[in-house]
Amino acid sequence: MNAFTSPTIVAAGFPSPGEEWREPRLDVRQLLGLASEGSFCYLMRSADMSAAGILNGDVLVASPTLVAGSTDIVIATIDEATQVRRLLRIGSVAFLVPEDPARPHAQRRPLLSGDSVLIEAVVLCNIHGLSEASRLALSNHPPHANVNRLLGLHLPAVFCTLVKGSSMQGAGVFDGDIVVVDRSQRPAPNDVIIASVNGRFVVKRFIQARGSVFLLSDHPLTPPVLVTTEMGFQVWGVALFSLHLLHQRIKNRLREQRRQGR
Amino acid sequence: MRRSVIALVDCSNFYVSVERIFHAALQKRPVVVLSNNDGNLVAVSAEAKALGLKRGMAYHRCRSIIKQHRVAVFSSNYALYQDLSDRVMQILADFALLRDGLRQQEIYSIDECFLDLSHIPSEQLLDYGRQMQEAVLHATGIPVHVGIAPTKILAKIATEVAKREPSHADVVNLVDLPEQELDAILETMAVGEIWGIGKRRAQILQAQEIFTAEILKYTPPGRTRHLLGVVGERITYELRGLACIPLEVTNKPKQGIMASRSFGRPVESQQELAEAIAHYTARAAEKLRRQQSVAASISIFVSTNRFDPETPPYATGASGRLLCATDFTPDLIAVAQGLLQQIYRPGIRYHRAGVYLSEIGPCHVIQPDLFGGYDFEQEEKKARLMATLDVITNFCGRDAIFFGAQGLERSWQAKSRWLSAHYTTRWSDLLQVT
Repeated sequence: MNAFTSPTIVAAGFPSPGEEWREPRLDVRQLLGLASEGSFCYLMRSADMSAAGILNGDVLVASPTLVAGSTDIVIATIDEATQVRRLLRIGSVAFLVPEDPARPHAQRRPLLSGDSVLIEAVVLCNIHGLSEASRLALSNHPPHANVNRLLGLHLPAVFCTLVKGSSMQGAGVFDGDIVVVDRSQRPAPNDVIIASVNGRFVVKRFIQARGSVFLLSDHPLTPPVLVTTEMGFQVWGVALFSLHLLHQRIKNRLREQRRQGR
Repeated sequence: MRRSVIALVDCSNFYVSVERIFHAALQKRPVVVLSNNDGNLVAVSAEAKALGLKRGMAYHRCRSIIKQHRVAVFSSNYALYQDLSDRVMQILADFALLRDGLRQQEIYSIDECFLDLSHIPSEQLLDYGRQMQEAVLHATGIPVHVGIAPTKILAKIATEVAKREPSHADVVNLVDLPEQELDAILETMAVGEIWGIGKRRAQILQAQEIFTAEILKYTPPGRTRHLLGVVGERITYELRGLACIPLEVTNKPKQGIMASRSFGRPVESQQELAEAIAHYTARAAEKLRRQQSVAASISIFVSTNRFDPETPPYATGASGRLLCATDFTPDLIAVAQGLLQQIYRPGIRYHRAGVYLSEIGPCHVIQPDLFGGYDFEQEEKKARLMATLDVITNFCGRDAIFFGAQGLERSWQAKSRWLSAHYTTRWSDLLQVT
């Protein structure tokens, strides 16, 4: 049998036609324009910016090198306390303003020359956990977390989708958000899922009751949908995170690329 | 002797299955995928097959059927297919035997791989096969066929059986199958269907009245060796359940970087050919920089269409070395175009061109050429220019900035009129949900 261990074989593997065309997988750092170094993740521990779509327990991805412009959301140290605020500037006067609808009259005095204020970083996006497990993963993230790993973009069953419309606003999923989806998970009741219905993809909350499946929107004016057999309903995946882009430049970037096409 | 168990996992109608992941309305509709340049059908869904469409048919010949039955048509989107292939292979690797820190998986093509399952007890194999099938289907939405057998050739036959007979629910295990039952399967398999036996070899066997896999199995190995050489002898042993074609597990390190395409139409002028060569060089150099390497050698090749009966076949190429390994696109383009000047012949209808970068090394090792001609400041400038170019390309797309040598019109580029989005590799192409 020794004759058969020589390296020549019957049929060599086909050169894969895709090999030459392989593109690197989606990379959040590339989307945000972050260099390999010099960015950090920050866990939001308040509702101070909830009107801007940043909820308690979200992870903020921020750039320490970007120069903060007016209307940017920034991480600032004010009198030795780290806070997330919107920077508003007019002439030589600057304000650092919270956006919490529960406290509409929070202090809005201008920054004075004697104030000890340090702007640490400009917030580029916030990551919102859509399931209990992903919220836990966010709150336990290591200080120098790799954003792509945190979102699971290296996993074979994880895909990204783009949200159009605000039907899931109540769940923290806004128009223009990127939703990270795990296709391998089976949905549990109340999970936010991506499903195909009538040949279209939707993001909705998955509810089972009395032997039927309902798709619920998290928007007061959108009624629930009862799933019937002729809709061709199929679960596409379970939503893990939504990425809310805060910086106008990055949002524009997405749009510009789309117009250019290939 | 070590027990051998090999599984072959084969994605069903891979390109069609991938398009269906991202097009919810196409689950039951007929779908076809066209080859490069939208020429022929390369993938045909079961529904489209039922309409009489077949792989290899020219698109323009079946346009009326496609229109009449509202068949969904796609240009081949290899970047997307390759990404899904990588995902499928990543999932399947975890099922393979782990030896010397390496998963015993051979990625055989974009939609097939062999796995060593010798660590799984025989009675569990069928279940294990189903688990693999479920895992891939769940994580990606791609259905697969699984064939399990003691040898590669038999595993390939097992997947054929799985495809042919729906009663097996896509998983077939031939390990420990009684000899008569196996022979009954082999009897239904023509020699031409056996993996590794092409048309020519099949003809040689048929001339000797060896028509089925079963007859081949019981032909003395010495005789098949006489007929087909060592290849035939190995196939005979493999049909008998003796593994003699090993898995090719080791991932060959990427030795060279290739960028090649066929044209959308025949190209004759040197001007256009030079544009194409420059364009592919720029692509290859971009890949080179992405893996932080430099290349010291560049080859180009051009060829006619060997399927075009009106063009005499012609192919040629040339290689050149750089004084100093580089990733600087203009330097590489200059060498590539110099090579083209040497090999260009007028009056030939060129169909394809390509560029191959080799002698690749890491970019942080500086190798000044023999005559000491290394200007640090100059190199620093070049590196900065390329880094800027890559950043702009990254954010604004490939067409935002490019070298004049790549041409403005590029009317020679292949057509892909029905290309779907690059859902998994470009932020601008994400699947939209409402």
